[in-house]
Amino acid sequence: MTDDRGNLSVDFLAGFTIFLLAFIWVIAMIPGLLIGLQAYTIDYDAVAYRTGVILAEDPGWPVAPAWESFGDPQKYNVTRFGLAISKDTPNILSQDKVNRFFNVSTTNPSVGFIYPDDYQKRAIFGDFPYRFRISLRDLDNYRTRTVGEQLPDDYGYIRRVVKIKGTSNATINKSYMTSHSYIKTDNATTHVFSILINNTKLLSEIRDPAYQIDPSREQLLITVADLSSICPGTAITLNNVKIYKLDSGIYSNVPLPASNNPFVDGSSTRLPSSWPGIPAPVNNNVTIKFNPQYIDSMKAQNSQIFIAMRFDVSPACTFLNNTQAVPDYNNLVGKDTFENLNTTPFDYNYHPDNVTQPKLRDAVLAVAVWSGETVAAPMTALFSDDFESATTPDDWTPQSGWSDPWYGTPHYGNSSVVLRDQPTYITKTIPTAGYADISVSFEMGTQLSGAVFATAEWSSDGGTTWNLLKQINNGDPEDNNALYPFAYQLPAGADNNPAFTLRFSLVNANAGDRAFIDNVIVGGNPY
Amino acid sequence: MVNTDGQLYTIEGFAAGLIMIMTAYLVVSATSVYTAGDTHISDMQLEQLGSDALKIMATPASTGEISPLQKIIEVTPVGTDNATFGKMFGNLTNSKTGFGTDHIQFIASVSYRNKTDDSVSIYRLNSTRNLAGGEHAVRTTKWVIVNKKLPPSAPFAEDRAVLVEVLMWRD
Repeated sequence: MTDDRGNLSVDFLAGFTIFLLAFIWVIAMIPGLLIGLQAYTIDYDAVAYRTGVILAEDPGWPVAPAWESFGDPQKYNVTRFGLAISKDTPNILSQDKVNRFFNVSTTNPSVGFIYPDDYQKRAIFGDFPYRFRISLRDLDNYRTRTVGEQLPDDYGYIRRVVKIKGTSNATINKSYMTSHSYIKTDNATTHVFSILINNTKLLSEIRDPAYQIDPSREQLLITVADLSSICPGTAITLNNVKIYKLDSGIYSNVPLPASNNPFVDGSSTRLPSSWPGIPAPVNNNVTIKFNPQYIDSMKAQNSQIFIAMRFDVSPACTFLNNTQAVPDYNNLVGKDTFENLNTTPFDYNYHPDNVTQPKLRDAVLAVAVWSGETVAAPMTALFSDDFESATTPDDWTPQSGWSDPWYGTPHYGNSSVVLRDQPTYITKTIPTAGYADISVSFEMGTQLSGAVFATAEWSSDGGTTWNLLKQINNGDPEDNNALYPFAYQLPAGADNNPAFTLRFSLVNANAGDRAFIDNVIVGGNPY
Repeated sequence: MVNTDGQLYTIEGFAAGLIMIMTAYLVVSATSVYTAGDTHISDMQLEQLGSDALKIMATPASTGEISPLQKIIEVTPVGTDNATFGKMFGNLTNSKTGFGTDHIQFIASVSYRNKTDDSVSIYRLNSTRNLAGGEHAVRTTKWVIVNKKLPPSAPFAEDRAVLVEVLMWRD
């Protein structure tokens, strides 16, 4: 006997199964829908972690030419920040990348990266406008560099322990010149000193990027010193510097752009573009500092680079000369000159007698992330000075008369204050009685030479002991005649303290050395 | 006699099986949305910090040198406390970029394999203090190649892989 009972059940089961499948499908999609609705507060730590990983373990993008070699006009080509030397060396940071990353401006896009926009797109990522603070403390050099804002009460963070790879450098002084017979008894007016950068050997002798000297990635620093003592009483001029590249047995002359001109006598600015048309007088030393981008543009990874420096002296004398200029300097022929028995170029190599090798320093990298809803309560400004007064720094205590209002570059508003020409400082006692969570912010920059440095310090005992906030040395990135923002949260010793004092100093200064300060603000929260 | 009863039960079973498989798939593949309290983020941060510190200690400062961690293990007799490790590890993990320091405690030990009987020996390298009851520690490790007599009764020093293990916690 047959009937239709089975067919009815099958229809029901088929329909119910389809319903259940659809129901399960919809249920499975619900978590995905909710992900987009979750609060941003739970992922501060995740975003900070991600940014910490990118900065500590990634070299950034583009890699070649490296992003840090891009000047401010080309900074929009930088896709991603990353401070690691290479993807194979996590936690080992490049000094050049660090310098470029912390070259930050608050307002002017032509002098550095802008916080937060430039960093948001290249280090934090995502459409949500996170606020953040990224700091790097160099434990060996006692130096902290920061980009970002003051920390609020609630934020996500990550801290990474890293190493910073220092740059290599060579100083060719009189002792070295004498021991290597670089001073020839030729009694002439024209002398040629040459330096060899053998990329083939540099890149093959040490493969590990953490210890490698790679001129296309890191800045080389070569100083020819003690020139005044070689031939006392002689006027010295740097007439020219020519660059030759030896590639597969063929020499080619590579033009030296003005952006890579030498530095003379410890100046913080390169020789102007009028050089070498107008030869530069030299008192004591010449420094060669090539941008990695320049070396990279030569495509010289498998080449040898010769730097031939022409010095003219008057009157004629025995001077620095290690190069047989054949037929003459203006018409150098690579093979005849550099493969001449009388040519013994200084070799920039891994020998510690020649070159101070790159060394890794310990550092701590911290990333803190929060959003606009959790910013710190606005602080009460206890003191501020924008140094606009014509009698600046009248309400500070100057050590001597060597601090004045400064109307030139750099300044904000009408003027900043300048400490200049000799060791000097200005101090200001700012009682913080009744206030806690004391913070200090200021703009600072320098133009220094030699062993001169500028400091910002605070004291909890009216100036008996001082705590360093910031130090700028000659040659630091901030030592370029511009103002940079610095902000610090002070420890409990600054709270509720009638003896709280600030000091800005210029140390070991000589004529021409300058430290600029502007927009000093001290804030706190009432108890 | 032939009817459709058997077919009916087969289809029911097939449908039920399908539903169970789909349910199992749903359970296994369900997306978990963690919250800050669930993810042990502070543990992850501490592990990352310890891992970084050991990595940095195992990295020579310049070419031709040996790493501080390798040197510490090589010069420290087995079973002897090494204050240099404590100072260096403590400095790297407690240093902050702002003012003040962190309060991270640790116990560091070294373990190695005895070649003669395949047993594993462990000795303490350094510690700030012992772990108290109720304190929650995380573990971080680093393999290091050292040239050392292991065990101390071994006839000569040779290259050996040892495991540096650090338990870390915050006060």
